[in-house]
Amino acid sequence: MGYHDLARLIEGLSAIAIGSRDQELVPACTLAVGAQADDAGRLTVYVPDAIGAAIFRNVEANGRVAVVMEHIPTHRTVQVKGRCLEMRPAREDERPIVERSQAQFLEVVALIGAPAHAARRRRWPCRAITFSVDEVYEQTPGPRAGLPLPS
Amino acid sequence: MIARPEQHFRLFQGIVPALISTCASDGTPNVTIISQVFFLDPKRVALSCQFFNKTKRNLLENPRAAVELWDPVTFEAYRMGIRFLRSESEGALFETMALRIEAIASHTGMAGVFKLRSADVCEVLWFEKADDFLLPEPPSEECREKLAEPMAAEGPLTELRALSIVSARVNRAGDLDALLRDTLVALDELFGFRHSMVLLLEDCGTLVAIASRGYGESGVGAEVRIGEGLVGKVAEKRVPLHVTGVDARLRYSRAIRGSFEALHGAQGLAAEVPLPGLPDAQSLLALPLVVEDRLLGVLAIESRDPLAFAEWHEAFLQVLANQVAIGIDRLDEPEQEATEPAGAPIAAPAAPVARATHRFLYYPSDDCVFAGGEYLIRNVPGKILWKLLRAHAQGQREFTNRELRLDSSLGLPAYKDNLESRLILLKKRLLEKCPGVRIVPLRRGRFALEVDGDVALEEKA
Repeated sequence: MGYHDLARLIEGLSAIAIGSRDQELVPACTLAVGAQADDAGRLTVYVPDAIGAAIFRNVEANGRVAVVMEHIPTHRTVQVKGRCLEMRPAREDERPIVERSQAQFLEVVALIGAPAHAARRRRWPCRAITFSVDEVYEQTPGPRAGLPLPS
Repeated sequence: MIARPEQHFRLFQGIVPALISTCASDGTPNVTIISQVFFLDPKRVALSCQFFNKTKRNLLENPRAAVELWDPVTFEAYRMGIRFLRSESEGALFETMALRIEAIASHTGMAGVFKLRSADVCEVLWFEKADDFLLPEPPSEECREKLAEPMAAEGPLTELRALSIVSARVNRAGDLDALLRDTLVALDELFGFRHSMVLLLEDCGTLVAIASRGYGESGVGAEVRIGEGLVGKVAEKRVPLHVTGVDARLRYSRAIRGSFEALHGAQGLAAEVPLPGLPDAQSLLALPLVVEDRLLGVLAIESRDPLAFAEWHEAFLQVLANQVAIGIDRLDEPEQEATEPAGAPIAAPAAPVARATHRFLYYPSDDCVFAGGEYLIRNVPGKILWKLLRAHAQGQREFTNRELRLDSSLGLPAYKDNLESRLILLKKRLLEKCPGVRIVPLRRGRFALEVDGDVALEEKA
């Protein structure tokens, strides 16, 4: 199964968070600082080294990840689940992806009155976690939340 | 860094959403954004369950969850490990959480659709600050000031003196108008709450704003139906409501409405209820005014600051609201009023050079009065005004509350008739819409109707 239109689906969803779990099924989560879908239907999520220790440990151990992406002003939200294909330090040429995503994030949180300190979010260096997109769910609050989106 | 949740109340006010991750029994993680984590005590928090979603299903299969919260002022991140204990669908916790959700749902026309299914109580296993979440840039002057503000609940002892002053003013007030005015001024001057209003109950299940501060004159006369919107819900449930992040909560509810409409259409959904006060309020504290088992009205305080109200304000200001309610009840008593007839004409004021004519139109079907083609007032206050205007046309200038109470055509109840509050509303509406016609208090239970110029009266079936 492939989600080849993933890039369009997640366009504008600049609040990004990643969840994982350990071998005892104890979950962990944190904010990510960027995401990019490729033509093969894979998603790469960028997680700052400084805050991602638990996530990295879990992904290394079992590869299971869930990523939620939201457009904050309207709450349009999508959740993507899959298995890690590669986890590595983010390259310098990927930094613009993170900076662009951060700029979009700051723009929307400013609209809703979020604190100015959001601009101080640590975002580099990062690890890039690329995973196969096995499931995509509608997550916008309401009766449709949790329904799978067709590939 | 290990921290204590009870020292970080701001995290739990729902101003900034939170993140929760759970895991199904087959090992599939789930991560989602939630609007609020409710602090119960240092060892327990609660999650609101509006829909039986994946998070809830996972918690039933595997009770462990991870939560990340962000401080609405500093944006520092905090993390919690929690364990699901139980779901509550009745009791004090459920009722408190349900009221906030119902009030927001009602406001966005989603009453009955968007509602609390359960309050999911979780044990806090650990709580810590996420070190290095932010870059260590020095905060600006403004931020330093904000950071210096206390985060935990504190203050009641330092505010007791202010409460004492307000209490004295309430007791000293000679009439209802002064009581309400002094209370709202005190809230502003002593507590810094710039925007407040008192809405009193009308017979027909409607609350009418009778006194306001910080909105201009247009605040008076605003109506809210019991059970509708944030203030209407407080009147219905008769419990205080503290809502932070009003804008964020309304957006959340509107997103649910949009999703619901896309699935089922808009049929059965009510229209959104306009906020009676600030259009951009970020926090609201609404307190019921109750004496014995009688609802008198609601005291509503708003702010553009999402952190305007600390946790202790709700209980603290309810004490004040209770005093105000007793004061309202006391001053609406008919005793000690002037009893001698007031029908005798008094000398009319000197006629102005160019006499204006104030045109009033009355619709007896709903006791609605228009002044100069513009809506003025309706219901019992409308009926009272019409009586006063007609008597004035026949030469009467002074009136007593007693004669109004004895006039069966006004339909005032024999007990607790709210006559004082109705006269205040009428006085303020005239001042705002038709300042050439005035109700002027003379002494307790007696007032004059003053008119600059002439009055033309017309009645339409």
